[in-house]
Parts: sequence; C-alpha cells; structure tokens
Amino acid sequence: MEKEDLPLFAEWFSTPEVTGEYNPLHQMSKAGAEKMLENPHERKPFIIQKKDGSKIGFVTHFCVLHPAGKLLEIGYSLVPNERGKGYCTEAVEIMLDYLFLSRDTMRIQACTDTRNHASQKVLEKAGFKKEGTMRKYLFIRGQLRDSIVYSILREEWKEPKILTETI
Amino acid sequence: MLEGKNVNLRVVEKEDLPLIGEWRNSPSFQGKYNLLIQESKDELAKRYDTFRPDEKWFVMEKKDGTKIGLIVLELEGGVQEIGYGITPNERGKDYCTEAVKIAVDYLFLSKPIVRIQAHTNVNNIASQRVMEKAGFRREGVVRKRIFMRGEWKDEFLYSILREEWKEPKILTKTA
Repeated sequence: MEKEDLPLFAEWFSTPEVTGEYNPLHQMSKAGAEKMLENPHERKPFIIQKKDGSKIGFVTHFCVLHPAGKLLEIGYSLVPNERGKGYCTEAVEIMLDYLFLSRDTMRIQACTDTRNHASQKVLEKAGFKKEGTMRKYLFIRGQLRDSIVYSILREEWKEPKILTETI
Repeated sequence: MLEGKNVNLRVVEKEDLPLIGEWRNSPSFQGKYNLLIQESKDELAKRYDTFRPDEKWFVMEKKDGTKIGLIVLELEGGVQEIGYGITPNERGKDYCTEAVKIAVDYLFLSKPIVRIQAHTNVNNIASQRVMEKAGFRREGVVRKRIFMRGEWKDEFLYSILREEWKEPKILTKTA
C-alpha cells in the first residue's frame, strides 16, 4: 500500500458496509490512516487489486504483542460486491506464501467472529485449522463478542501454492 | 560518476528510487537467491534517508544511460561489503563484473581498508563467477547465514585484499 492509497483505505475503514457487521465500528480520517501505519504492531496493509487494476479490498499482516514474543496475525476485508468470488481466499494464500517465504515464523494466526461464516470459509480453504474460541474477546457493534482463533503452521503450509516462481 | 568501459556507476539519487523500488519489489529481478521484499515508496524513501555514513548505493548504467542494476556498499560487522543485482535481460554480458571491479577500485582508492568481502548463495553460480572474475577469493561457507525463500540458506564468503588488488584496474585515471 502506498501513500496514495491511504484515502481509499480510510474510506473503506470508515464505511460500515465494507468493514461489515463482524468488525468494530471505526471512523478513520486520512491522518488517522497514516498514523495507523506507524504503530508498534508493525501493521502492513496490502491492497487487493484485480488484474484490471481495480482495488477491491485489503489484506494486512500485523504483530500481536506478547511478553514472550511476537505473534504474526493477518486480517482482511473485501468490498461487498466482490465477495463470494474466491478473491479473498487467493489474497490470503498469497499473503501466507509471502510471509512464510520471507520470515522465519512457524505460525500465522487469524481471528474471526463466531458468526462470520464467510470469513471462516476463507481461512479453511487457505489451509488454516480452527484452534478454539476466545470468549468475549472484542467489543463489536455494542457488545462483547466471541472470536474463533485459526492458525496455520509452516509444516502444514509446506511450500508456496501461488508464489511458486519465487523459490 | 565512476566510468568503466561498458558501464558507469552513479550514486543513487531520490529520482532513481521509483525504479529501484520496482526492482526491489520484483521477485524476478531479485531472483531466488535474494530476499523476498515488498516495500512501499515511503518505506524505501525512509531507508534511503536513514543510510548510515558508510552506506552507498550506485546505479549501474550502460553507456547510453539505461539503468540496468544496483551496487550496494555497506559495512557488515565493521567489514566493507559489496552487494550487486542486475536486471534479468542484461545478465551474462559481463556488466556486473565490470561494475564490481569499478566498486572495488573506488573503495580501495577512497578508504584505508585492507579487505572487501561479499556473500553469495552456494547455488548462485552466476554470482560466484562475478566474484572470481573480479579477483575475489572464496574463503568458506557461512552456514545458515540468512533466511530466504522459506529456509535458512548457506552462503559462500568471498573477499579481496588490498595487496591482491594492488592497483586500480578500471579507475586508472584517478590514481
């Protein structure tokens, strides 16, 4: 993601229909988007672009800080009218290839609301395994909600599925 | 600008960063023996602005001005190190070897160092040939030196000493 993408990113983040009912309700200014990139969680968003160049969403990797170390986690979002076409699953698969190829990490995780079946399918198709439920984990749209944790280990990923020309 | 017979080395300017960013983000330019990087223009600009005093990047240019690659000079563990990369369709034409020779001349002429080193993947035959043709000697294997493309990789360590270099091969008019 480049500086020029920040206005679009801030817009998506601030549009309830894009972030969806299973994501916290945010309102973010362009300045806020810039600041988000400088945070200690090493958040790095990537724009998901169709082959014709249209920007349809984002996939992000970030670190969950823990006293014993850093946990690598990913998040993703697609604009409503491009959902259900396999784009998000492929974006996640590309992100997994990129992360396992470029970093010495053994584990990548993702969390999703217990009611978000579409997101759970993305993770399952991308090879993640369900680990468990974190109860009352995040405050979403007025209530504390349960989240399911998924993870994929390097030995399950084995080798790149999409970024195959890069090894 | 440092001039060779078929290539010149010119210090990287801000205006070169877009092309360099494209190269760095391109898995095919980087090749399988280099890190898989994805950097935004801002991240690259910040990298450029925060160079340490001994870090320098040079663009490799053909005599007609086409930019074909990069030479990276930096200190690693207090020792002078060279890195190099060239766009795929200009490989195999000895441009990279000449660029490395120019860089070696420049370093030994401008700094009181006695040693220059470089690392290259044990399977990167093309890069090893550049080292040998430029007068470097293979010292040994650095095991599991760097995490690349999903694994810890072994690299060869090459070096050239001032007494082996003796005198400039290319920058002869500057000595």
